[in-house]
Amino acid sequence: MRTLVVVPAYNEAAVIAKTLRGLLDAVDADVLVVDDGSWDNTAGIASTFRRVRVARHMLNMGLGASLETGLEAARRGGYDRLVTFDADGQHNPEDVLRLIDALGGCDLAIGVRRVYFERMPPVKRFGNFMLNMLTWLIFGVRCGDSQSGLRAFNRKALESVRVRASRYEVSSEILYEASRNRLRVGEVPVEVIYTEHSIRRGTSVVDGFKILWRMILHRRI
Amino acid sequence: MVLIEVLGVGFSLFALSRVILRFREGRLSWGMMLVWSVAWLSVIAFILAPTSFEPVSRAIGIQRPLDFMLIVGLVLSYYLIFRMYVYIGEIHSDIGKVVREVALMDGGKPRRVKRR
Repeated sequence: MRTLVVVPAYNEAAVIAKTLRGLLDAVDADVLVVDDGSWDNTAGIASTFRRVRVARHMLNMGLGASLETGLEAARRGGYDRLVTFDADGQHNPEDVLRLIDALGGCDLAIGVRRVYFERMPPVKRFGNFMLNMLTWLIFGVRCGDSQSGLRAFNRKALESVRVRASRYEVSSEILYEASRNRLRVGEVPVEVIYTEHSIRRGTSVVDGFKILWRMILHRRI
Repeated sequence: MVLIEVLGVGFSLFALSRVILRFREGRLSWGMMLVWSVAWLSVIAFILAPTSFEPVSRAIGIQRPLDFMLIVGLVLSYYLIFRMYVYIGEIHSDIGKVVREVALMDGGKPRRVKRR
């Protein structure tokens, strides 16, 4: 079974090497970094890793577009599984294996950041709760962490999920696509590694409203 | 003629000249040239003889010709914003496809990028 780990990255030169080193040590899989038009040296640093391929967007198209590029690369490359992994270093690479294991009982496994919620400031916790609720109300899918960037797709999910959203709302759209295609969605509790960088890169309140607005716009009737 | 009428007619004539210019450059189709010409000529006609619109406005139940023009202008503006929104979305989607194809074509060979 061939696995592709997709790492969407935008201006992550400060942390990408550490993230990739951890990932390559923990997982025996191909890694594709989708550099979303970074103006720093993210792509250059990523390409120094022998086992890492880099697909570079000429323009900054957003997280959703980067994930769709990763999904398309996996489809064309004939991969059996795909894992999405944030470049900011917030995920524990060991959790990738747990997500892959979970694919034995589901088509799409979502890494749910339980500890993250416990340590999160109340405003952000409320924001995440609201986005989970809105994902349920607008897209009809219940998930403990609708905005998690750590997910695993099996071949069936890879073939059926089509991402149209270009920005942050993609996380909710993937769940909607899973529901629309009657995929089995599993949740796997995962760890979160706190660094100054990953906290700074987290979704802000303003981002939350943007996600809501875009979820409404992308709602398919 | 009061100042606002002079300014209104002046601006409309300027807009009309841009329409004709774009048409002559081949950047506007016949149909679009006619639509925009009629629109700006209507504005000029309304400024110079507002009462001439009274039969039309009364026919659709609006008493004052000014209200009629404002409502028509507002509805058309909203429609144009909607058209542009859809168009921009389509362009964004198309650009995304091109960017993706190029990215997947030379995957593994990142180019040196200049800091903006």
